Amino acid sequence: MMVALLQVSGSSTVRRGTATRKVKKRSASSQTQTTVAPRQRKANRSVKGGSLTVRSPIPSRQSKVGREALKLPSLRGTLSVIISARNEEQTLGRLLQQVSRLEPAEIIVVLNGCSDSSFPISRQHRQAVVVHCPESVGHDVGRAIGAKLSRGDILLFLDGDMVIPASQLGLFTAAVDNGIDVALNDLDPLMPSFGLCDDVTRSKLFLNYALGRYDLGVSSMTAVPHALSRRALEIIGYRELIVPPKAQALSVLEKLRVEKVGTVNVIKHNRLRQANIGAGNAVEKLIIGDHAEALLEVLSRRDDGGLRNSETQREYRRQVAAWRNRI
Amino acid sequence: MKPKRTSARRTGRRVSRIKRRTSRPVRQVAAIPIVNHPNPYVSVIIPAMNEAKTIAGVISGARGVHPRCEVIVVVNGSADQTAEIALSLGAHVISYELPLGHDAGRSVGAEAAKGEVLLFTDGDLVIPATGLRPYVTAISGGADIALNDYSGPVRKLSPHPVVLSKHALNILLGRPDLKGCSMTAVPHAISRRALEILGSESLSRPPLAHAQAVLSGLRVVAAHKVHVGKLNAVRRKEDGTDPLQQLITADHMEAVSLLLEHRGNRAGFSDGTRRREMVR
Repeated sequence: MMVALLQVSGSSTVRRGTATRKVKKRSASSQTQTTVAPRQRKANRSVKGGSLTVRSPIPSRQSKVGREALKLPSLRGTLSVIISARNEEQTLGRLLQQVSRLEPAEIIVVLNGCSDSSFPISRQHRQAVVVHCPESVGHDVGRAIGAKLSRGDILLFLDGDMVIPASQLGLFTAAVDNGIDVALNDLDPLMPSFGLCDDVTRSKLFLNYALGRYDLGVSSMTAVPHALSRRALEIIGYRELIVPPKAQALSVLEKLRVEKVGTVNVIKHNRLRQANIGAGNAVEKLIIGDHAEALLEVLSRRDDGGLRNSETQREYRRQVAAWRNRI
Repeated sequence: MKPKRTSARRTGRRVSRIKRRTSRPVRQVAAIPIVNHPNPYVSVIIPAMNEAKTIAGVISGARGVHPRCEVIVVVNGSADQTAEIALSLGAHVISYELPLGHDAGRSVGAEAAKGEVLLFTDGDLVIPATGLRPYVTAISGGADIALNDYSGPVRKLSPHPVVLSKHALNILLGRPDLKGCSMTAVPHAISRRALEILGSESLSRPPLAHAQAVLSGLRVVAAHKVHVGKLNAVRRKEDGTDPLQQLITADHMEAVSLLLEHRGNRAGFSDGTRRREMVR
């Protein structure tokens, strides 16, 4: 039951076993591997129609010249893109196309309880490594699995339900390439006033406030896209990515560079499902629970200057009262 | 259809000089005694610190909440006439030369209270009896904690940290319907049962008492709105910090800590279908 079925795209073998680091160590000798370095891929492109190329069957609408013109600035570090998906056949193919434009070193697609054609679609992509979990592993667990398998210096996390143009994704990867450890999506401009916000948004604000980072607004690792540096992943621990707000708390507490780097409207395109609509829905409760875990982390590390001592506490309150009334 | 207005009405002239009756008959109010009832149903607790200007108004509002009522004024750190004025108005005055500390007056007042309902207000908030009665009514109707239905200004995305903390605590307590209502704000009333469960000492740290009340299964309701924001000015130190804000937000964090101790790491919220063992 608890065994994940791992299928590595491009390879004829189907591996069984838990999602462990084994998959990461793809042997260099394997000739069926299609995950190749960017430079090598360019070479592939030139031998069009040759036996080496394994191409996506979707024909590109852009001319080769156009493609070159739209090339994104290259990164110093290597990029791993981690996509979690759950029955996203409508969008996954197009998302993978956009991701390819970033020229990542690897693309890891974690399929979480997919029963549609998400699996064949991901497998058609020449670069994607597909982790197929036939049974649902739950929210955000896919991210941690993907992170564990990744090797790049920059990790870009995406959801399969939304096609985001490569130019926008580039903001996040570039930020990490330039020294930021956790590059978040800035959702503040898309939010109504606090009085009209939902409980999840309020929880995100409160966590950032409790972390002493009220400037982050509602930005959260719960939201995609976001990018991490390899250093951040090592300090946070890939396992903690299962609970994104806790990972965020750890990032700030460990003094990593956490910044919001750009706005991608993920609210407009977020797929509505049975579980995520209406106030008090299951996903909302899950995320609030995540924030509770994050706050526990904050509380366990706080330095309150001895204020939990009741006598010091009383004296402090006396001083505050006196100060307030000496108008 | 609306009847046509007559010319007499339009120009504002009265046809006859007979006084028109108002639609609502004026209620005859019994003269309010200026002494505390020996066997009170409601105890009104008023912490006061240099509030000579407002204390008379506050007491007269408090007197009107119930025929069987006692007014307790906890005067602390006052250099003015607050205590004398309160005494002359028949209040039970408890005096301390030094300041008791922020919200500590509530505990002292609660300790002395004899009523079945304890109504907390403040020496600088002049509220008429009509604005206080709904809290007493709510407790009489079976509630244990009747809060001020006031959530603070929420028109920006990032509200004042205290407003944010109150909302977040209620969300984590599983009471998002309470929005920003909290025992931090006055006026609010509590039942004698609530006082026994919470203990008078805990009332000095209202966010903790608030969390404790919800966790103990007491009936907490938002009873009535008194817009206290306008009456409460924010004071800052020269360096821009507000020690009171820091104190209240720290109390809220402490309340979250209490909640997590009670309900577990996730505050009682489910982990959904997560299979965490998949990642080791």
